[in-house]
Amino acid sequence: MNKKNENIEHEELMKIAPTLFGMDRINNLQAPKGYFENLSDSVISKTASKDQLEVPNDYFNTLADQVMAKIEQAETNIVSIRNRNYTRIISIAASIAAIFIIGFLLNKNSIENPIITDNVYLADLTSTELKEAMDYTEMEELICYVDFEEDFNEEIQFDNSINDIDLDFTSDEIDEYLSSDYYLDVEF
Amino acid sequence: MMQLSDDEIVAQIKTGQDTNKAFRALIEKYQERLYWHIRRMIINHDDTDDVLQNVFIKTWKGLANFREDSNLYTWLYRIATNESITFINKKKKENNIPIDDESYHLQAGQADYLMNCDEIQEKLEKALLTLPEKQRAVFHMKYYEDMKYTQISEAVGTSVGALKASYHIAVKKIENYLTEN
Repeated sequence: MNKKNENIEHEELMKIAPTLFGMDRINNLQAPKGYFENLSDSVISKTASKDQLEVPNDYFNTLADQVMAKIEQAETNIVSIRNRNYTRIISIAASIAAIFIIGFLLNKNSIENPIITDNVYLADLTSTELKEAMDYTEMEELICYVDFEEDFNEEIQFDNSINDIDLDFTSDEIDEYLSSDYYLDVEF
Repeated sequence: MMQLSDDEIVAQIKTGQDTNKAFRALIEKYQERLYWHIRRMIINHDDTDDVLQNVFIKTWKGLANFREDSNLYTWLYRIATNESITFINKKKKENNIPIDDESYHLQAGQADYLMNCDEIQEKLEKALLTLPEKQRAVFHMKYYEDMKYTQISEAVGTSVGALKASYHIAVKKIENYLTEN
């Protein structure tokens, strides 16, 4: 710094900060004794240790072969996007077909034997099939099947029992029945 | 032992001639100045030591790509300034202190050295601790190290005009602190 600039800066400092200007420029911080004597050794040992990382013998001679072998292995395992699409289409088609078959069987069985419910089929499904079914079925629907199965069965059974009752009564018999207290003991 | 010039140090390291010797010369030449530059910002000796060693390791790694259009001296200061600020910000984050909170050193209990100062020096040190890190670095380079604005400009990557303004503001803040407290 030339003398002229130095003087200007000192004058500025004296003008804007007279207290600071009047103070000694003391370094109040201290470094431990001998710190600077050992610092270069410490740093050089660190840079040296970073350079001295060892590589196994012949590593670079065999590296290219190893990489090529891995690439070849990877190529044999590659499934092309085209094949992967076919697989996906087939699995979707199979799932749809399974749903139709399940639907058909459910319908058929409910006609043949109304006591057998959808839940029986759900119970028979494998976990994979169940998972696929869930993809096509609303969760609420599945919950309905499970929660209301018993009510559903009872309802069907009750309907059947009504149908099975012999309703061949005369009006006199019905009046007699109603005028007696007997029906009051009947538990529904 | 005759001290090597910056150009000689860089040339020897780049050409691979006596690399360790040249690098040792670089460390010995700049260790004290860089130490105090970092220490003024970080305050704590152990942290300063870590940062300083990192600065030299980064210098070692970067010397091969060092462009000689800039000054080795200011390049080292630049690395040291950046490393110090990165370190302080990391510490603030670890201690959940906002980046712009300047009371980090006081909060972190790093102001023990103030006990050895006389009253006026203690005030000055406390005033310095209220400055933002970059402003403190500029103030230190200018006030304590008497560096030229052009050198500081290269070291911190800021224009001379902005540095002059920053230094001026720092000086006013310190003066206010000294007179008001």
